[in-house]
Amino acid sequence: MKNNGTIRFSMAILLLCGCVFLSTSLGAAEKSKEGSSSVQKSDTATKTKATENVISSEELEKITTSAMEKSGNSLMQAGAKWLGWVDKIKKVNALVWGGLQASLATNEEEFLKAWETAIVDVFGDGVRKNKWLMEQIRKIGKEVWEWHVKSDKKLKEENKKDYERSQKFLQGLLNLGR
Amino acid sequence: MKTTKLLTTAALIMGCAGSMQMAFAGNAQNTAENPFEGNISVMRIFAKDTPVKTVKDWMSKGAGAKWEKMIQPTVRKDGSAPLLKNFFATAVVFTGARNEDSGIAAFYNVWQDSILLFQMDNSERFSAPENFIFLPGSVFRGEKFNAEKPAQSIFPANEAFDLAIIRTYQATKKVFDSKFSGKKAMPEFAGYLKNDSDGMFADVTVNAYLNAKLLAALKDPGNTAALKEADRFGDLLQSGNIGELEKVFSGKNVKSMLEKFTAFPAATRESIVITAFLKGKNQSIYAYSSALWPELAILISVPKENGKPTFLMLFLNDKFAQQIMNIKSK
Repeated sequence: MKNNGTIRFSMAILLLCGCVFLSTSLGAAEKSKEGSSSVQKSDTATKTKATENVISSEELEKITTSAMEKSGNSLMQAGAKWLGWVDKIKKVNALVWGGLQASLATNEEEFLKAWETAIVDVFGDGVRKNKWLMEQIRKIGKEVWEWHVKSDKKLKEENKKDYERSQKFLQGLLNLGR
Repeated sequence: MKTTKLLTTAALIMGCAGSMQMAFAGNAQNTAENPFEGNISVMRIFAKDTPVKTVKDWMSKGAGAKWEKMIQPTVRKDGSAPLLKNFFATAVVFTGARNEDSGIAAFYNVWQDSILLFQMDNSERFSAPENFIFLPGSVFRGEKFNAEKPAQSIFPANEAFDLAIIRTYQATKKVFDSKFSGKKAMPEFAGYLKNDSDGMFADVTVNAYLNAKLLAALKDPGNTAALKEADRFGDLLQSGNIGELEKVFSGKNVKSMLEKFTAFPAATRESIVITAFLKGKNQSIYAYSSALWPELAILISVPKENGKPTFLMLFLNDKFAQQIMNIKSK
């Protein structure tokens, strides 16, 4: 009998908890519905776009250029540490960004576009005026694309010399940029 | 980065849906019960709009002067600092050991993988940071900073983005807790202060720059469709009702996930901002977080071929991160 009483009592508590939970959940759901619709009504007046914080490439370029100029000043006072920063930004642009885009590219055209952008990022738009240089950049880009896309060992072996030559040339370009 | 991985994780997350609510409730409770954390959180809200002035004014005189000088290269002529704004907008607060005189806390932004670590002076009427160091997450975790190999949470080269976010967050939090929860908090902080402050900030800026560069692709002339999508998703997350969200998003247990998402306070949703954009071979990922509650992360994956975008909700807090990592390791 005592056990039955305990079970009944436990059941009642459970039932009560269930009701409280259910009403809280329903209440929350109602509030959420109300919240959503009221937000919808008022959002046109107060809402800021979720992409408003995106900095355009152009603006980003201005920020980094300005940072480099300022770092030039502090370079006079504080030694060479900011030179490292400038160097890193260049590396990020040319190697990481280029590399990331390259790894994401789905076709040769996409890859070459990212590749050219990365190189021009380092040297400025003036590079585009030099036809010979642009041809070389594209040629190397094509070779690198081949290297990335053809993954079997045999092809890599065959292309190894060309790839190494491309890398040396690219390294030379980067050194010129410093 | 693979859709399958994302979907699997989404399913796993929904498996511990109850814990998500607990985690959310737990977090809100922590802030309410912990004025130390509450005050720092409020400061972040101001700093996300005016990082240069707010942080300088908040800090002690000496620390403020150090801050002003250190961040100067990234401040624009008009006094704004967009990279720093983005850092504060979606940085979570970590709090460590504290007493009447002093305490350790940090702002950590997983999307930029950078941490602003500071020591609070609690002896004054209004506690304020007395000293600080801004570090790339990698250096804080005891790894080497390498600009050419960005953190997985900035660009996930080796694993799915959702896991990269959780893993990077958890690794950083683990280091913070192990170093700053006990009596050794102050000596540990002093150890980090030995780093070259300006040099470390340069690396922090490289991380912020890389995150911003990936996002900037949205505003490139050839990407108008992606920007439109980002805005459409942003609008839906900020104010869409459950019916509207269900029409657009798919995913395993998406209904249950969306129900929980739409139950968040309106202000939390209204302050949702984009935090990352990754264009992959088979899909694009748009990531969002709430500037009011940065523990909330939403990843929307859009397949290249026809198909509905996938909705995935993550929480940057200990309980949630541990559950995900435990499930993954089983």
